[in-house]
Amino acid sequence: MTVPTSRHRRRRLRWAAVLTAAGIALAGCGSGAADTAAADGPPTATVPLSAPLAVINPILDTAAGGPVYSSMFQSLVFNQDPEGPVPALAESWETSEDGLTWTFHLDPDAKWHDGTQVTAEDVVFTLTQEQQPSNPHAGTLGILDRAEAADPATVLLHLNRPNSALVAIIGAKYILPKAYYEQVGPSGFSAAPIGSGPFKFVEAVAGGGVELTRVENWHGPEQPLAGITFTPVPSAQAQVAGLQSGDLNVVPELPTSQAERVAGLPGVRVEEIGGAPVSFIAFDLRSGPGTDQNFREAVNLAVDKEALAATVMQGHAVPAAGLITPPVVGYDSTRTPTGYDPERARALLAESGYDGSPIPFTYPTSVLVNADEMANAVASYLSEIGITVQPTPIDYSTFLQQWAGQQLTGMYMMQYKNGTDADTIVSSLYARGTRALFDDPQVFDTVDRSRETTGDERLAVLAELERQVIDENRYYAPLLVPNAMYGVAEGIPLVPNPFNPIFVTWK
Amino acid sequence: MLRYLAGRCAQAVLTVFVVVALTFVLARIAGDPTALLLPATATAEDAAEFRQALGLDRPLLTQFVQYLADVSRLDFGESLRGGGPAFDVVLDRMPATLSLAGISLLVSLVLALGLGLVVELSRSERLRSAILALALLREAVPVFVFGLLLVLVFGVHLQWLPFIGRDGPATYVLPVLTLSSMTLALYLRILRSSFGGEEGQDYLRTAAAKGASRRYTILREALPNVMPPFVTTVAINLGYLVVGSVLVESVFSWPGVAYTVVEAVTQRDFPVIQAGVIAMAVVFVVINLLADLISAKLDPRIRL
Repeated sequence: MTVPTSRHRRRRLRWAAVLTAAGIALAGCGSGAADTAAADGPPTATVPLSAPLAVINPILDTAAGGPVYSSMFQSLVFNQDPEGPVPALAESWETSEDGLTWTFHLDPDAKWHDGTQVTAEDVVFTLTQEQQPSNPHAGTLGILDRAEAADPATVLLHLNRPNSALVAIIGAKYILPKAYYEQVGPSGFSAAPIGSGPFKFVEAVAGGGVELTRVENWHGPEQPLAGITFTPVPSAQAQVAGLQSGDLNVVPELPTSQAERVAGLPGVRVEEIGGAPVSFIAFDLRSGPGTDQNFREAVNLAVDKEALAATVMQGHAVPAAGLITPPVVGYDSTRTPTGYDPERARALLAESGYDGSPIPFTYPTSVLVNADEMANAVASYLSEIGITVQPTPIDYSTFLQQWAGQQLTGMYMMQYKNGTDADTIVSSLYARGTRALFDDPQVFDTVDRSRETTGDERLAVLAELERQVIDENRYYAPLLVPNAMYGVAEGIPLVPNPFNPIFVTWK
Repeated sequence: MLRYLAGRCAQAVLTVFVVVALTFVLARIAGDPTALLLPATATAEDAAEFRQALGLDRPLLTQFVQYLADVSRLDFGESLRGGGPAFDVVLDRMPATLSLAGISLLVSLVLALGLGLVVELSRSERLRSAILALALLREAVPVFVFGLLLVLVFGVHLQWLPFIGRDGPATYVLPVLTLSSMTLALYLRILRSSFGGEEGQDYLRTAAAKGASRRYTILREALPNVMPPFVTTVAINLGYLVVGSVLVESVFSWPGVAYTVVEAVTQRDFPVIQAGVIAMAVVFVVINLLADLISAKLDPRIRL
């Protein structure tokens, strides 16, 4: 039995300190900035995903894979260019006189990543898979009666009713290789996916990410990035921290609250472009004060959208003139946002018969940019003219469920993502049997005409539709169009896209 | 001992069954996943067909009976997000969670025992107060706030350590530090009160009277009597590790089961929720069972 002396203790403590310091130093060796640039040649980028990939399979996945899929796979047409559809797997297309048959001619140079030819059978296979009732994308192909391979390089799409937005709809369908998919099955495909896009699969990244590398001699334009690594980092704060530390090179969907700080970081720039989503207020049109048009118009006039854009959104948004936003095909540039006129709003409110009872005002805590601040500001404006609302935040998933089940009462506020074509809004919010809470034959008739017409005639019908829904009936009160913002590390080429984060070049 | 073991095993099985049943009920209360999985352009007919294809239109009791039969075969169905068998999704993430929790547990035990013994051996009130104050200060900071502070200091400003995902030993440092320090103050307090309870006991006075050093009496005489309540406390607080791992995995984008289950809840992916919660419950119950057995082995009074 020996008792350690204080000298012994001091020596041990010194060793402990040295070992701790060494441990921290060794651990630190594992960190480092993301590799933004190879010694020579184009850079690679590390990009966060808002959620881990459960699967790498665009015909089954409904969640986080968007930017991955647009890098690895191709549709018949690339539909996310603000200037209109761009040829992708199909080099050209045309429609029949009656608008019921569309013919797509495949690019003979389009190849799968294993070198085999992309064929019409692949297109038919993919679309047929997505039409299965158990497929989560089935609801997006309601207009498609059947797909047919006329020959290996020609696809015919037979519609059950004309729809001039078909190219936009089909542009969201990533085509998969039939032979390989059938050979390895869904699980095998997810483990080693093969696409035809400008980047190909290298390996899965632990936790639901993926590493991609550029396809040499791809049939489309040369890509400015040599590779992309997508890694799941759901928290926006962690994404910004990652951009600051160099672990990430891009933050898509940069929060407005972070924009100024990110712009001030060394070696980082902020890219900003007018966005496609729109925030709006909707009313329960079945019962309550929302059934009265004067009330709805009063709400429209009571909210100062210019001030909301300047304060709540810190200048990173513009007032919305309708639900179809500027980058979208079908936007009417002659429209102007409803002005701010509290006096007229008070007069209309008095005519509406509203008795001052509190009205539920539900909104989702995510997706809607600066949700709480928006809700409080809107509630404050409404309070000024005498409308009492009860702002009720709920999580986005629950909100979607209640929205789909038409369980939201009073008023609700949300943000909806426009597609590249107005038909996304029309199919979701204006058409019969969807989320539309109104039963208005005139509007439904205009919806049908918007699908049967083409070109300038269609644009005129869509403008008429916005007038009917927004100006004449006030079924919705448009609020803001938030900008799309990206934080980007120096040396990373990125052209901001209003619809989705896109890391590939199609022109 | 065998009777005690059988009793504890029966309790463990019952606990797992209750978790299995509750998981089914709670997942259904969370709502219909159709609205989240289908696009807004889907019509009511599309939604009805989809619900039928997934079996969600059947009566709840029928779904529950089928569910119990499937769970007994470890078949939790396919992930609604197309991620293959739900149990495989969870199994794939299990090593990340177990390694994080295991290493954190080990680090917190080593830290607590090491610091506790240093305090007892030194007999320094000042050292004891300083260590306990630091540990209490840490305990007072919520897990996610502490994690974010570590990210800001060591990840962003000093850039010493990575803080995103699980990619090599260095990525463990910050999550483990966050999780392991969470229960340190509690363990130190338990050790102090246990050692305090032993002080002045006859067997320690006898050892001292026979000329044994303080180091001997603490390590050889007092420590074995301090361990049973300490092990029991650690076992009871394993739940904190599970709760803490949900937050830690979110802060550090750690690809573990807790994080996967949270994602699945957001997506209303019932099969993955059920597989994940049940897998974690089984791990939790088994660890508690082992801790009980170790306690019983260390202290014969427990199994009486």
